[in-house]
Amino acid sequence: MSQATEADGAAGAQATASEQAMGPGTVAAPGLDATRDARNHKEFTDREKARATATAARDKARAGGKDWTAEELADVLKKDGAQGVLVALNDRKTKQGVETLKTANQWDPLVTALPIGGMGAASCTALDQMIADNVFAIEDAKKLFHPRFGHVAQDVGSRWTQDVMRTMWRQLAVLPASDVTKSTAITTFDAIAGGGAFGPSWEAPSVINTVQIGQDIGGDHERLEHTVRHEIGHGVHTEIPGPVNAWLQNDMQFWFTDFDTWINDLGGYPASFVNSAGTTVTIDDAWKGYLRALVEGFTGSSSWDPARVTPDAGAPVDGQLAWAAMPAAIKNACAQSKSYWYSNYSNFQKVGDKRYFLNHWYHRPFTIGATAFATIPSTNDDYTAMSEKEFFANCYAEYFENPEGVTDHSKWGGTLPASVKSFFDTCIVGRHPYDQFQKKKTANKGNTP
Amino acid sequence: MLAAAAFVIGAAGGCNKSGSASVAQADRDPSAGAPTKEASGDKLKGDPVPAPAPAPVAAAKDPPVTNPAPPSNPPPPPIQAPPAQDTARYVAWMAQRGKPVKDTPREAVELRIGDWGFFDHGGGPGQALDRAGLDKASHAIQPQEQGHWHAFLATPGLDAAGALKRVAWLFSAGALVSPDPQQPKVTAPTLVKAPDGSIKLQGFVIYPPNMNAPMRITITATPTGAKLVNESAKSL
Repeated sequence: MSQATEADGAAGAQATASEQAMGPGTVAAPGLDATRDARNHKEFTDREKARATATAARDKARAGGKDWTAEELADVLKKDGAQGVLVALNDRKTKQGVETLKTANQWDPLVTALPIGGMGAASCTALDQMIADNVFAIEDAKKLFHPRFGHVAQDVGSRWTQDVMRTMWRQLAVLPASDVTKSTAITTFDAIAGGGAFGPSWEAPSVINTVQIGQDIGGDHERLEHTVRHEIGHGVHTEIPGPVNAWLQNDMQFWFTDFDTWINDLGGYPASFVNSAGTTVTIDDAWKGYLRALVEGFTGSSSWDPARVTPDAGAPVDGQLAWAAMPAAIKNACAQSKSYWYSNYSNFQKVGDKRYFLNHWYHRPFTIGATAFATIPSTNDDYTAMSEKEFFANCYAEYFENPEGVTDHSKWGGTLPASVKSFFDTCIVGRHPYDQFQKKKTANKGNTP
Repeated sequence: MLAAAAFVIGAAGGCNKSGSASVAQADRDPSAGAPTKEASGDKLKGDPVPAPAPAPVAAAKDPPVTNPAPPSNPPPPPIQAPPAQDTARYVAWMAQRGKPVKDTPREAVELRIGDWGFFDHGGGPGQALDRAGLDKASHAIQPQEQGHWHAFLATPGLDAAGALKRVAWLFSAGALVSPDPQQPKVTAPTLVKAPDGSIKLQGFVIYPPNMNAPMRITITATPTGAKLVNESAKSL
């Protein structure tokens, strides 16, 4: 469908693949700003139309040349190397040239001769264009992915599809090479079943180190672009956890803590309560441990839901009475940590300038600082409030949203707050240490009228 | 906000237990305030129900006293232990596949149904690797099309919502088991057995990281194979 639609789009008035598959996209999902969603969708469809026009123009130019011969391609290989062949093939009769190389058993040697992750700008551009134009079958695209991006694309729970590969490719091509091709945190790019996607984890880099892309995207290529940036963001977090975590902890205050600290920050334990016998019971260390265990038992694990309806559900009467004596802030912090807690982030319990919630996937209590809280809407996705990992990944996805930023970095940043942009500019794009961002931040403060 | 039913672990059982505890507590709480002998004995046996002792026994035996010893503080009740996990068959199954579990295997005990158990493993918080559903007849399902989906969907007692929750869990996704006014295209899941023996599960899930974009998943299973289809709710 996407392939045919791109050709249709060349006429200028046809619906794009995304529009055909997804409709006009003017109704935002819950958690999204409709106006912003519509603007993003228009920008995406404009880009789709421009891509279709460019593909049509390249296809037309390629059709005009003479056919390749094996001898001619061998001469190009001898003179300009494997990368030179790709550049030459992109100019004319591309599919015929590839078939000629395959017939001469020279295609696989040519792909093998390409430097892994070290291709030059001209050959990268040629290859990116040929992928965008669907010149290659998916198996060839997978082989070429390795030299282009320095990582193997492999089938795991599913098989790479042409349209998902094409969208992922074009998104990867406009991200910093340090985050993709040169990433040491990412091992492979895996095709998985379903519509989900997963990236490396800074907490388990030796175990969780693949970018997994669900192939069943339901035609939503606009969202897939965001998904690819998001998962690469996880890779960057894993690659440079030092500055990223320092920023999350100090500037964003979006971080996890232990249950005891979280409870104490929210008002602590009551001094006593009256049990079912009418006796005043002192909340000693044993009772503190019990109440802490109620909060921990309520917190889900690798789940989207709490493990219980309430912390005291199923507890004996005296346990419930003890829980009832807990400060209202703690009880509310638990109550607002509902199923899909992030979608309720605006109601998280506030104490001082921080918000408090329980994360049922990571089985951890969290806090969100004021700057991070104010940043969440700028990502136009409440999933940003899920954890420190998703916060960073969605900030990354927002920062690098404009593909024109790859040639003009001033176009990167999206709608993120200035301090967040400054961090990304210094520590992510610039790969400078965190203390340089701090110095810059101090200097900026001094210059602010 | 997305509406979805929470996975509730033993909530109903917990309520029953709470009720029992309440009765026991009242039985042990004569208005005089002194614990009975039975209560004291129960406590020694480790009864999980707390036995409050507002006044020491000695004080009751020797009234009046001018300066009684302070009453001991009742200890908290024990925390209810979760059901035991049965991960041995998962560990064996993973080893058979050439992927021995080197960290911690886990069973999501709240998902047990019939002979089916649902497992993963990981070395830390949030790590949910190699999720699989296994039954005791060597059937297995994973987050992929291949697998014994028909055997799973034919499990006695499995309803549409229960099936969708387990499927979503395998994919690390969220199951939308109820219609949501904010998501008008999201409908309740269905599980239909056709006369030809095939079984079709259809319902809506949300896959991370796109948790605001419901997808309709359809699994059509026969004894010889299955077809999984995902469609964006926006495109329906």
